[in-house]
Amino acid sequence: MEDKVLEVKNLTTVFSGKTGTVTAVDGISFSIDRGSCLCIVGESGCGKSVTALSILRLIPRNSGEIAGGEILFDGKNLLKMSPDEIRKIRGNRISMIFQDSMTGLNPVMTVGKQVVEAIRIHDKDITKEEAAEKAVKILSDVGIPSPELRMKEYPHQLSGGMRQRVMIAMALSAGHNELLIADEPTTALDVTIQAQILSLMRKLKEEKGSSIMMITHDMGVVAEMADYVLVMYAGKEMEYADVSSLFSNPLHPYTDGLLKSIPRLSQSSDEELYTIHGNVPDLSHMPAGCRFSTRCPYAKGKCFETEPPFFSVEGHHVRCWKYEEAEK
Amino acid sequence: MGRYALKRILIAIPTFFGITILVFIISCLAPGSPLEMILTDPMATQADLEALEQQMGLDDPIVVQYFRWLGNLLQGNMGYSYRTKLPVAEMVLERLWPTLLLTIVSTLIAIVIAVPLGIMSAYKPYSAWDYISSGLSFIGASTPTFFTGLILIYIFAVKAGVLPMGGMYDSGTRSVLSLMRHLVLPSAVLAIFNIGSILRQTRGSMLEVFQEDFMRTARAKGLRERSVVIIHGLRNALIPVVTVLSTMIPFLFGGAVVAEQVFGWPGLGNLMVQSINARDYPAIMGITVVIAAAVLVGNVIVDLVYGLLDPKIRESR
Repeated sequence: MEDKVLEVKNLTTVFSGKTGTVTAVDGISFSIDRGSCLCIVGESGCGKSVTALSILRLIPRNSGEIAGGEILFDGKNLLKMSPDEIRKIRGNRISMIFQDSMTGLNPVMTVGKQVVEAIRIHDKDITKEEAAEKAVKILSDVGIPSPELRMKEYPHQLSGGMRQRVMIAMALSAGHNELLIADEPTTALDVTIQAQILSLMRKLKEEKGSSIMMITHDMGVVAEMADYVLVMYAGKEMEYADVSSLFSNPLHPYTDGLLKSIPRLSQSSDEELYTIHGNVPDLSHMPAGCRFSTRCPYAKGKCFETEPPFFSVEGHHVRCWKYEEAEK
Repeated sequence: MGRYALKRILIAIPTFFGITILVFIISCLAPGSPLEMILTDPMATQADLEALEQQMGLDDPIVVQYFRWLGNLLQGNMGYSYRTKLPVAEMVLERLWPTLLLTIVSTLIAIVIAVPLGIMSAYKPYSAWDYISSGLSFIGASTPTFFTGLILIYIFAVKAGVLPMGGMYDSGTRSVLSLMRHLVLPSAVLAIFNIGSILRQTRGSMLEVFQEDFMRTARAKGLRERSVVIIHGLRNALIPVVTVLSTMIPFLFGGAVVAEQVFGWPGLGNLMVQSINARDYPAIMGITVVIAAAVLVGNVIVDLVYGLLDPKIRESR
């Protein structure tokens, strides 16, 4: 499939604080095919969430800004749109599920009101009653028991898992979900509900042909959901490949490390779990060459001096000097 | 909500009785005997004094005196003023509504001005606008009301001559228009004084709310920025603002005392000052009880507003 629903080109997002400017996302590019699911993986603080927020232009105005690049949605640059144009896309053609359900719902508004609001923003003709019916239906779809009663409750009366499902319900309530951005939607949930939610998202993908961009650091979720995987590290994309070849043949040393650090049942309990040594570099003090060089077991001369470009090897795009020769 | 409201109102009742006990004890402890105030005849003998004491029941135990006073109070009888010989209840009621009018109107003006300005300050913090509004509100809050009052009188009454200097009505009329013209300056003075704290609190809590995740959720739904701020932001931000308002209520009456003096506003504060100067104990006690009751009612109202704003409060208490 050549049809791309989203194309991100050279996206750079910076935050300015008291200690100076920090580049959270440093010129990354990727695209999502229509009807497919892209998973973005990486450690905490590598810019995954900032990338997601940048797409809907939800970076907090007073601290951060998108410094450059293009985000083409259906061929139109979201970054060039007027506030009103982007508003009509938010929650309508692109919906977003946020990570933190504990604080993501308005504490002084009933759950029902919040879902109904999400429905009515983009559907001016729907009556309050119809919207309420639709809301009940969506809440039961996401697995909330006795949704009619829950509609009248406030967020603090619901459990964390319920609240997360309400957040998901709000995102799914939009008319045409062409793209669903999910930022660690299941991290806060227990495994049974996690499975429920993932299958709900898969259903959305299959039935409505929606595309999904999913942010996670759970490789299990990646295996379950992804068609393609983008591995991010310190604000840059490191490797991009389809899911099966990424799992069977990780090229980038970082990807390799991530996969090796998943605990396996077959592993004996006295065997130590693999870890990637060191920490993510401070975003304000990036290494000169490859960003992963400080932690990479294969790093040598060039890696510390010049940042590697993308090499296309075996259907992967990989940012590592190891593959300079292989590409030729 | 119904249960919560009932609870709040019921709790106010014992508080009221507590207030009456305090007022009574304080007036007993105050120096100067009422007998001396009444019996001003220099020829009066000790026997005359004792006869009067007995006649007025002042030789009874203090508990008996309290319950007698309380019983009368509950029937609307606050005794007679030493100074004017009129029933205190009548004097107080006559003065109560001008004071209520002044405090309520000035508070509403302060809220209507301070809350939107606070939101605007929080929306663009550290902007020129933010500094200007914060600076002006600080000046307002740190200038004594009598001083602002004199300046406003000088500008609007003396120089421009567009507004009256004081009083509540023009002589010979009781029209609403005349009342409103007289209300402008005193309520402006009180409002200027109170805008600062409300504005700062609104700005502060709005700034916090802007950081909240649910604001981002609301934006991600595709809500207009204005709706995000007002529907999702303001209601959450108002909860701490209401707290500030509730702590302001007693000071509102205190502030009114000064403003009433400056503007000759025929309110409770004015009466209070006259009564204190004359050591008119029945009047002082009556006024204190009424003001305390008004503060109490104000607090109940604030509690109810709390309940309306915050569902958690509604059920937990």
